[in-house]
Amino acid sequence: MSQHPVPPGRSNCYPANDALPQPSFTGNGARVRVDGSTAQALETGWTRLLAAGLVFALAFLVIGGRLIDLTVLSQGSEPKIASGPTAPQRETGRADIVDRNGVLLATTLPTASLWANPHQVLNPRETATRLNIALPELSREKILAELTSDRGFVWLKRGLTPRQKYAVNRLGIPSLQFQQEPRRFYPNAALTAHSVGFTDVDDNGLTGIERSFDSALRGAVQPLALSLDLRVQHIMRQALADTMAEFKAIGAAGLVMDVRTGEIIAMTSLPDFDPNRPGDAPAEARFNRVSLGVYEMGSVFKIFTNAMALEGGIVTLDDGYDVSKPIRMAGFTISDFKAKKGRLSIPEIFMYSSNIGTAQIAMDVGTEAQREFLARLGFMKPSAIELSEVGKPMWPTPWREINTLTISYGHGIAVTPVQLVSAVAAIVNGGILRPATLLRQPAGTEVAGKRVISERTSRQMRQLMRLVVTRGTGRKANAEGYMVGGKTGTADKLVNGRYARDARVASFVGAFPMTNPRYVVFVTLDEPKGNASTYNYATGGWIAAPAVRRVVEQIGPLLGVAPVRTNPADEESEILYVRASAKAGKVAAN
Amino acid sequence: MRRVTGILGLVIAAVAALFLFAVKQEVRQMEDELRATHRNILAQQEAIQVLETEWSYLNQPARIADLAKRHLGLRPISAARIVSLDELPFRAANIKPASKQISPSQPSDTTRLIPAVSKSKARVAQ
Repeated sequence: MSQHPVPPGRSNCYPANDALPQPSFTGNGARVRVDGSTAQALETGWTRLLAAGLVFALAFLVIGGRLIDLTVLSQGSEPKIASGPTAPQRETGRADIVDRNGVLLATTLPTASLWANPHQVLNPRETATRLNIALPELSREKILAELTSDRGFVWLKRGLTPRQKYAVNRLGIPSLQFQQEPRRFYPNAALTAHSVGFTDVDDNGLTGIERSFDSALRGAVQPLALSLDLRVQHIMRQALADTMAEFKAIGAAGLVMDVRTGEIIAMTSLPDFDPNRPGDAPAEARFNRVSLGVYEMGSVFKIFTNAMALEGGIVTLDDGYDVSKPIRMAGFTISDFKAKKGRLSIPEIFMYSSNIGTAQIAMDVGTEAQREFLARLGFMKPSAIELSEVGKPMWPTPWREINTLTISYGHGIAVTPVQLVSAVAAIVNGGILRPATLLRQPAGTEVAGKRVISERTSRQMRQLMRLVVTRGTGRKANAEGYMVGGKTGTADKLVNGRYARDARVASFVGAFPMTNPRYVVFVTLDEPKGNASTYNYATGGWIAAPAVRRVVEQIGPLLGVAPVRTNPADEESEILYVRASAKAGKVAAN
Repeated sequence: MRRVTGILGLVIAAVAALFLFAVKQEVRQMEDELRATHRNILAQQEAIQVLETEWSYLNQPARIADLAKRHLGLRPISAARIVSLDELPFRAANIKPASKQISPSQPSDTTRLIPAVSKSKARVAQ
């Protein structure tokens, strides 16, 4: 530094070529000249002040700019939309389940669970005695054993009702603690036990919709609406329970399905259980006969044999077969329940439920076509219904000719009732097969389906099914005004590999009104015993058909199906019958 | 002059601080109220849910059917009793209305209703 010559009046902090002006302090009139070190100090102060001033000016400029931005530019006025604090939503951790009309089927309520830390209980003996008075269902010994154990946490009772909680609180024992726990309740108890299902104590869905929609229910707040109608469900259950008691059956199942959407309106399996206490029920009561049980359905399968033959053009309604002799094949004898003589027309074979006649139709259709047709109706794979309890259908492999004959009248193939009802719905609704569903479909939506038979075959099948009820084996299903059509079925049960004569499954599948079907109703009774009122018959026509009539009579007005008043002789099916039997009679006379 | 400005500034600052404190206190109080209201809403929602469950429990179709049978004597409606409007026969013109047979001392509900209906019709006509 010393090498550089520093001019007088300049601070040596600045390089020589600095262009700063020479400070000169000039007052008014008076001129003060400062020299030397004083001038240097003044100059340093001046520049520092300037720098600081600049920084502050910049900071104020930024604040000012931001203020203008906030007040004038971006949000000059109050916000247009008021945003208030939103009300909290009740979180239960599991959404409700309701029926199609919004009636509560399953809900979660907070309950208190009682626990204690045994190390903190001062007087276990006294606590146990007093707790036993408040909660009599807990035994004193058990409480005492829990309270004297060496653990730091014991559940005394889970899921207390508000009244029980109050009783425990009244004891005033400080070492007893409550833990809030959500618990699943089923206010309609056994009525929808098999479809809704139940959860375990930690709210995990174990069966039914609770299981298949477990994860969806966990996240949701909106209730899940099922297709079931609780009123129809009650009517079906009542009819089944009455019939079961009357004929001493060991079980029963019933279904009502909307043929236009595939929605299941009612689904009942008896015996049933209380989902609030599933542990108390035997495993047999928890078994869902509608979707899990597979049964040989018997003569109701003749619906499909006839539809298949009519659809394939193998027979027409004017054809007929000789049914006087039983068919013998491969060690089997196919005979009729009530033998008829001579030649019967196709409508007669169907309405009198002739096995011999139906087997001959199947023989003409052929094994391959039969298997293909039944697969098309969905009998070769489990139903798509939204339950985890779905039964796998059973059919013979290899499918021999004798199997073709027996399957034509419903023996040798076992399917679930829900599959059967879906297929029957497709037969009567104009030929569209729709998957069975337990979820409510929005009103007015067209549910996609797959065409399985033509409109024309569907119409002919409706006429045939109506004939069964007006003149054939299903006369007891005739609900006045609702034009019920259907088919009876009585299947012998397989007991130890042999068909038992006294253990039967009696069923009836019907649809109404046959002029323009809206609902399919299915009822089946497991091992009913005939009594004096049925002349000891335990067949579908005597046992299941009256139950269907009772159900249809009650649900018809509920579901808004307008009754039809017609002269029986004017019905299409009647005209068909008269024509067909006249022709068949003529052929027989030839 | 400078002293006056200083004191004025101090006073303004004190007033502003007091005002801020008051507002903040008010907001805190309102937030407490809001929290209490939210708690209350949740409690009410829970109570409603419990009541709805009980309502559903008491409305089990089997129970209602039993009550109706015991106290009302109602039965399921039969199809024969449901008729559409065009199935009803026309009333012959020369038959006098049934209400005429009731003595004037005991006016039935229908006869009392008739003036009201005709009055409302007149109003519509106007």
